[in-house]
Amino acid sequence: MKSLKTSIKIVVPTLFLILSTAFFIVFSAQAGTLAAVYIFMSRLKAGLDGSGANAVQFILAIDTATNIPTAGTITIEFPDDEDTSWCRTAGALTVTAVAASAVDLTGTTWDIDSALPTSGTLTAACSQGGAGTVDTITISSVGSLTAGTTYGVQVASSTGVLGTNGTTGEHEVTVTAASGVTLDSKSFKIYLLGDDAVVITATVSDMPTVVCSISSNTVNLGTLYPGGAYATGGHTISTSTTSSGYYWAVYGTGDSSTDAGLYKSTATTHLIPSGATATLDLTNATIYGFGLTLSDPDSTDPATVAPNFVDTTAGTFGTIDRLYSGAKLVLSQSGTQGSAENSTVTYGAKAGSSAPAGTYQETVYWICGGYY
Amino acid sequence: MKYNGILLLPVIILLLSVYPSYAQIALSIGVSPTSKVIKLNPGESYSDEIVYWNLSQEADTYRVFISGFEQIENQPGTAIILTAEEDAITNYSASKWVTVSKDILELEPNKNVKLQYTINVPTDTTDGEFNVEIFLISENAYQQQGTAAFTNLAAGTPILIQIGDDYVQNAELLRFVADKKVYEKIDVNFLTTIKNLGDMHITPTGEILIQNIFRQEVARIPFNKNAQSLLRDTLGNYEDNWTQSGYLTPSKAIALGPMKAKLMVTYRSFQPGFAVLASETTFWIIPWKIIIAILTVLLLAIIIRISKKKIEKRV
Amino acid sequence: MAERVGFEPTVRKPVQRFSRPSLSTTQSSLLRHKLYHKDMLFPLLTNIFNLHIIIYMPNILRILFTIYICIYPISLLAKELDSPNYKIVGATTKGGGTTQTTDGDYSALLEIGRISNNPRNYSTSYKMFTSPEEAFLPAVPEVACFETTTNGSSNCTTGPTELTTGGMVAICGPSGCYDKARFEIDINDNPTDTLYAVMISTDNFSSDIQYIDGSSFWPESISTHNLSDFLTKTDWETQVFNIQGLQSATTYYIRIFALHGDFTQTEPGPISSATTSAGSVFFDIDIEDSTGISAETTAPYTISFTGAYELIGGSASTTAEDRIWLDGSTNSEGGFAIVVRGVNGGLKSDTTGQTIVSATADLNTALDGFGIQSEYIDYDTYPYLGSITAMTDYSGTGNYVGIVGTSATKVYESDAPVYNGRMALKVIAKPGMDKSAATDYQETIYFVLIPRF
Repeated sequence: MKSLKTSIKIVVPTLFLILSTAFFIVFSAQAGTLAAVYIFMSRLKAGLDGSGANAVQFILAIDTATNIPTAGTITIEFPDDEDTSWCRTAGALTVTAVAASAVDLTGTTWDIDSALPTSGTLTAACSQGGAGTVDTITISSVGSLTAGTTYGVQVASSTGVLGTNGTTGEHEVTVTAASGVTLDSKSFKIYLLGDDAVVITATVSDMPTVVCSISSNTVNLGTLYPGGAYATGGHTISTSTTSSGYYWAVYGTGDSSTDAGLYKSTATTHLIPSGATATLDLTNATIYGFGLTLSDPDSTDPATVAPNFVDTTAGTFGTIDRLYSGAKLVLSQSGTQGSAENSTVTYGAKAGSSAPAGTYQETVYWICGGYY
Repeated sequence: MKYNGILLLPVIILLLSVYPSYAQIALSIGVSPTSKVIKLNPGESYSDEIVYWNLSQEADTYRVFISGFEQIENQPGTAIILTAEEDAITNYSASKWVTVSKDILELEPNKNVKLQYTINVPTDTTDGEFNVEIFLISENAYQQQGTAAFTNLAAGTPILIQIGDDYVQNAELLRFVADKKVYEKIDVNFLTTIKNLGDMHITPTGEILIQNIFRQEVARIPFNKNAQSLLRDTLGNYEDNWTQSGYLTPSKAIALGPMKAKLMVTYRSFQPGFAVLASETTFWIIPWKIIIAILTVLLLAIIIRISKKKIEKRV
Repeated sequence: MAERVGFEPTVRKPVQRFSRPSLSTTQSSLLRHKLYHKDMLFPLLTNIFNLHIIIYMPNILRILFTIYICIYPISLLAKELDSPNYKIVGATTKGGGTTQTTDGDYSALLEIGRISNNPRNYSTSYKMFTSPEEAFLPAVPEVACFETTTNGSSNCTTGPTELTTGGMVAICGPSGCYDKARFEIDINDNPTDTLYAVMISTDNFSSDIQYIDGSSFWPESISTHNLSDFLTKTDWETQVFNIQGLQSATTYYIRIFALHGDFTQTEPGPISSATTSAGSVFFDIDIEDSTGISAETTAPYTISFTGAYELIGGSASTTAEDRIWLDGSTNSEGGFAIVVRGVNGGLKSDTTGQTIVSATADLNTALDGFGIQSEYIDYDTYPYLGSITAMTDYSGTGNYVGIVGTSATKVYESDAPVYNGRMALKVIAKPGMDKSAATDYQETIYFVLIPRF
């Protein structure tokens, strides 16, 4: 019994000592890597001092491999021989948790799932390195981080000013998420350029411009009943210009010798002339011919339809002539026209009672230009 | 049988005019520059380009014409090419000096196309201004069935070429009137006709001063604010408008009754003040409806007053 | 049958092998052995035995023995043998037995009256068998290859063909792997059913000792290391990257030990080391016309809509003569993203105060606009590496452009490491008829390449 007691006095403490040591070994901090990380810098130019147009901000996306308990920090550390170039002025930074960024790779661990949580209020600061230390951005009061979730956070200059190192090429940074003895970190490269900007310069010419359109090059006039009602058809014209004004003029073809108008070119040829008068009232039973009207594009000034071609009276159309010299001004405007404006053109045609049956056609030439 | 005839007739007419399917396309053309003024010397050569584009969804084909040009219906600032015959006989056409890189331009949708041109001035050219227009007219293959109007689109760039430094600018004011004699409301169109007697184009500018019977300035409107140019040896009709709502100006001048409009125009590019064209015209602003209404009210008032007096007298 | 004792060199195959009895004899013997030790009341009896030994041994031996029974289970084996190769050496009726942990992963084989593991039994190269199971030990394995950054060739033979011909850079990208590695095992003629476990360290096993987990292939601590981390050579090497979760720019040391039945774990084999890549990224901008696939130009980078490319208000769209050429390559596993951001959100003139605003649009129908369009993408094609694509807005044809706005937008993306990525962007502008003439329309576009590690 006595030797049993003695044995127990020796064995039990020894056992205890070994097992407790084993416990310590089991629960010591194991630093892991980050499952995914990226740093999205707003500028990649080397040597930015962080002021004014040279401001730099960082968006960090981070996915830890281990669950990091709450009240932790996230640090970004820069190379040792680049002190004061990344943290241009030490001090507090603006920090904002972000739930997405333009850099996210959808459906992967590099896709921010949620904004960085906080254990209170997120704060951030940058500190400058010195002998044995490095420029560091520290984000504090970070909430608990779940492995497998990617968090996003943005830091920008405030009292502290972020900049970039003056050397182009690769720079190694280390991102660490830590709370107590639990930490995950990863070192990786970012790249700085001599110049990250492409400047696009452009001259807008001072040459005046005019753009003219006709909505359709063919207008069906249907059937003309000799001595019957008049037929109509139409299209739109549109204009825009930077010159001091625009104008439209019109001339026809007809039978290529007598007058403009609808012409039946097959035997027996026949011309329904546009007419010698300035306008045609096709509601009058005795009047036949071919003419057109235009609508006022802007109902008020400055565009003006020539008096003979206004569409204010139904059935009254302005007549046209042949050839270049027969061109008549139908629409004009003084002043530029920044956006296209439309006018509706309506053709009116009526055949005389002697007109033979057949196909009648006219080709109307629309000229547009800007004032010189 | 009668009914058959009535039914047949429309059918025959319908058959006579066949309803075709038309291949309709939109036409569009953009041009820059819309015009050009160049100063050259005899024997000189000049090259430049005109940019065209097509904003429709289909390709449009245009044929290139080079010819002298004239104003359309005496409208300054407008241009239409001359026929080949007219171009041959005119004294001021520079069409023979100009060569272009293409005769047919195919304008694909949404593309800028450049047409290069070269002007070779002959060595024996006299001083003065010559003109030429590079003019595009669309060409389309039509499905030609049935009664229809086909349209073509044309646009050009008139070019004014000034040869030498020795030129004459001279113009004559032929007419300056208001389009009506009496106006109920103030919407007056001033019609001016100027003839260019010189040997280069002019761009007359000026203003029209309108005064009332008390010689107070009622309005001052610009003349030819679009800067429409007048070709040499040509008549030009200018139209300027004065519109005002109400009969009282902001400076409290009355715009009623007899009005006088004075036109002052200069046109020379060098020392314009030494050649001023001036003219006057008169017109009336009579808001007769308002006047009749006022008179009617007055008359009624007088009648009532007289009637009252008569009644009082009787009593 | 008398016991035999054999000498086993620590790095070489055993000089002497015992004759192997027939399968049936071996199996039945083993079964009886097993039954005797495990299936009877032996766990309890074994514990009583332990106590008996502890109480009656001298003090110093008691302490040593206590340590032995506490620590030994951690490193002991426990898989049922089901091997075609069995041998019995010295069946004995002397005392002894096995005990297991409750999870069944560990067993202790206890012998009495054996030669102890006294260091005097070791030489630097040889060790005396001190217990019968040592005759069953497989050969100590070696590391046939352990690679992270090899380039152009590889000692690994069972991996992808790209690895064999191109090295690890062919399957990890420029500069090799930064967070993973591949190893292969030289089994030294061990049977195919031999199991192996891998020990890994960053300080050559002086204090940092971890093991590779057999399912995640990440390093794990001793506390989570168990039987499922022992895999056959085939199972280890089927996984292309059989060590993952490493830190970049770090030298790792591995050694492998083998197991071929209960109690037969070998000593770890020789150490092999490899250093992970520090990560690699490259980005460059060049300005050249559409033929500039190989062009290299220096800053400043400018593109002009002037001269023959001058913009005309109201005209059709104009494409600038020069392109923006970009180089991008990286070994980051998430590839890279290239984003753009404009200062003005369009071409802005200080003279006129007008901006030709940038938006994603078809400039054939829009009246006014400005943007960029991807024209060219090329990269070295490797089956294990990634590809580069342009985002939808920037993949249009004709005059369809993507926005260059004041907020960053992604233009190009690679989904995995890429070698020699080369891309080109067209710049297209269309001023509306309302844009006044000026020579100072301008936009500054910032380009940023973000590697995703």
